[in-house]
Amino acid sequence: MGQSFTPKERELVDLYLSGDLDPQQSEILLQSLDENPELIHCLYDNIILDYLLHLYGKKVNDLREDQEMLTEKDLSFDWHDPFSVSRNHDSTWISVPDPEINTVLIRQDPIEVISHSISYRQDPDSLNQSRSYEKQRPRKKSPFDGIGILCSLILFPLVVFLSLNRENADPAPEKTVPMVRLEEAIDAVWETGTRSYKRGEEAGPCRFVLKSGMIKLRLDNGSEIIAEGPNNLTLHNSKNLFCDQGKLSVSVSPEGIGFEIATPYATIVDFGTKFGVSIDDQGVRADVVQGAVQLTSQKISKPVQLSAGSAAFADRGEKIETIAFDPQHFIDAASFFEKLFVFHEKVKKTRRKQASKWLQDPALVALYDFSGEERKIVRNDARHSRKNGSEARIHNGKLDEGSLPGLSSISLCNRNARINCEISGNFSALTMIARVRFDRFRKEGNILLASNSYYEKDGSIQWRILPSGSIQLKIRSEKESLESIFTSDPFLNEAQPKVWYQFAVSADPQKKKIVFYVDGKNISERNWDQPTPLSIGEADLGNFLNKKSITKCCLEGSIEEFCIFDRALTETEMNQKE
Amino acid sequence: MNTSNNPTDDLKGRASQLFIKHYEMIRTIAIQIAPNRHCQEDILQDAFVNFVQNASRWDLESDVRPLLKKITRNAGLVHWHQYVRNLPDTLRKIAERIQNESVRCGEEEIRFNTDEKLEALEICKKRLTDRCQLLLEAHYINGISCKDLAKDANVPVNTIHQTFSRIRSVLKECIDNTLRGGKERL
Repeated sequence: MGQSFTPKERELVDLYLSGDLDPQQSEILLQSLDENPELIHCLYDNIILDYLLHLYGKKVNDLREDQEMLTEKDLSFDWHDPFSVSRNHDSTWISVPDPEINTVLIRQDPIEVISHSISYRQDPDSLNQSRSYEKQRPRKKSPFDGIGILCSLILFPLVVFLSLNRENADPAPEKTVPMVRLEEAIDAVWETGTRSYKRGEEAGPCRFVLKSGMIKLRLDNGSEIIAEGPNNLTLHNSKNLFCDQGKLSVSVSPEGIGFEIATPYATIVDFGTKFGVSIDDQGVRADVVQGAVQLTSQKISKPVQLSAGSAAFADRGEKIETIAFDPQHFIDAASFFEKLFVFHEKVKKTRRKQASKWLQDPALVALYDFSGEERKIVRNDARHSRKNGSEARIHNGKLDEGSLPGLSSISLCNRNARINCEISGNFSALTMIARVRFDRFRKEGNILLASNSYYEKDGSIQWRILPSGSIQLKIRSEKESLESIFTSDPFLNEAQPKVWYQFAVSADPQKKKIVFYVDGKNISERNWDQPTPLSIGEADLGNFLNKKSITKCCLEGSIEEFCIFDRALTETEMNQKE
Repeated sequence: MNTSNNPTDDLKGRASQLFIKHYEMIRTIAIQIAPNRHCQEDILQDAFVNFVQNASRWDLESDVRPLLKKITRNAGLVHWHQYVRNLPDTLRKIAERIQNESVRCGEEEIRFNTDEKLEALEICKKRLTDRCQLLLEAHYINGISCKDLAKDANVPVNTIHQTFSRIRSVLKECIDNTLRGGKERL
């Protein structure tokens, strides 16, 4: 709870834990949770700790009861010998003359019993020996003891050195191994307050809460799942998921045989097949397209086997009945791809519409479009550019797949790869938009655009994505060796590689703001207290080649589109596209 | 001691032993998946019944931990959804957010089981001031509610809540440090 929470938020968390929240306070807590993501960590941690404290209380109470039972009065069996009790500062030892029990140790602090343990005799005949455990005879010194001490003197610093080095060598936290990839999404709307996933994103064990739309997931064993919203599915591993609502279509690869879908009413186990599942409040329905599955209800011990063309319904676990196969009850893969094609065409159409609108905008300075079959500069309105006025050179780039099927991009795959352009003139306001995909994130930063004369010319800029998932804009200030750095809040916990993003930044001198956008949404605003004219000049997209230093912060990924305006675009204008 | 000749009983006995052996892990997963103390016993009960009754389906000679994890997770999710369904709309939405966090935490490897955490809690409790220890004992061991504690001490309930909030904050930090320290020593 050391984070930045208001006293009110802390109070609400406490009230939630004690179960004393009234409806109005619940509303405020819900709002606070949405506004402050840190608060949910705090709440969760407190719930776990509260549980631990209750568990501790229960344990202590159990031990108290045990202690009461262990008093001399309550012991019901016949003692041949009185037992002896010894105490030290925090423990009580009871030596019991029972042939099977050695000693009973009760640890207690001044208030209550902490723990107790009963040690059992290995050999019932060694009763007399057991009482003298604490007073062991001193061992005779051996000549090897000296060697042991010498070895430990040598080994101890070595072990300390190695353990310290180990700490230094591996400071990064362990990452979850991806096991699922969101391959496609059609008009996917995610439930508010739950994580939203982007096309191409990979994840480990995760939860998909879909309000509407459709998604297609591909597991690391090659199995595919199509889910239709509303849907709530939790993926534990590549062979097991839990779903309590929605429709699923599953195609299991040979590696994924044994794939299991658990629902509140029944469990469906696959035997290498294609099948559809539909879950609602009434029960769960399974329709087998190919192969076979097994449907097991929690209340009925005998599982039901289903073969191709058959279906069954388990209603709230009471009974499983065989019903007629009906493909209407789940999403057919063919119809999914049909819808996907229509969706992609719709997106492409809106993008084309937006691009033509931007081309008519007099504020457009440059638009580099690599999404067509022939990579092209639709417009570079830099009036005093290179000889022919509008040129950009692609160095070491190669043609790659674009953000949608049928679109292409320029992949920058080595340290020298870049798209060199020239945007002359000074700009009082500026908006830059880039649609990019990262194949890997560099620790040092991932350049989207950098003026080549960044260290020489005032007002020069650098625009990059940090591996923490923040967008950064650097502006060279008038005084030498100074720069203004504006960094957005992280747009993700960690930026995802191999996912297409549309990043944008606008510098608005009138509002004195630098605004950062991801996929058309305003994610952060920073004050720009002293607006200065900005200049790009000769610049590289995706790299920063400077004579002073070797760059380590080039973009490893692909660029599909890059455009620059000499005015600050609003969020509405950003969102017109999709 | 009675020994059964029925192979099914033997299997169930073996399954029970394995469940008890991995009880700490199961308990840790249960609270992680369904962060509500009131449904913990039901989850553990369901997981136990499912594991033992279907003992003939499992390969008990191999590592059963992944299976137990799966069974516990599913039982946890079922009970969590049942619990959430009965809540008023706003509390249900809060519970949804908590579960998202629990799924996120579930992605992380379980480094310490509940028993280890309890040991750390025991150590940390002793480091608290006498007053704080008494307050903790009164509430968590003797079951005195915050309202009654406030009444006895003649202070507003909010003061008791704030004190518990501070105690939990100190305990959390101490438990984390103690567990980390223990792991480093290993």
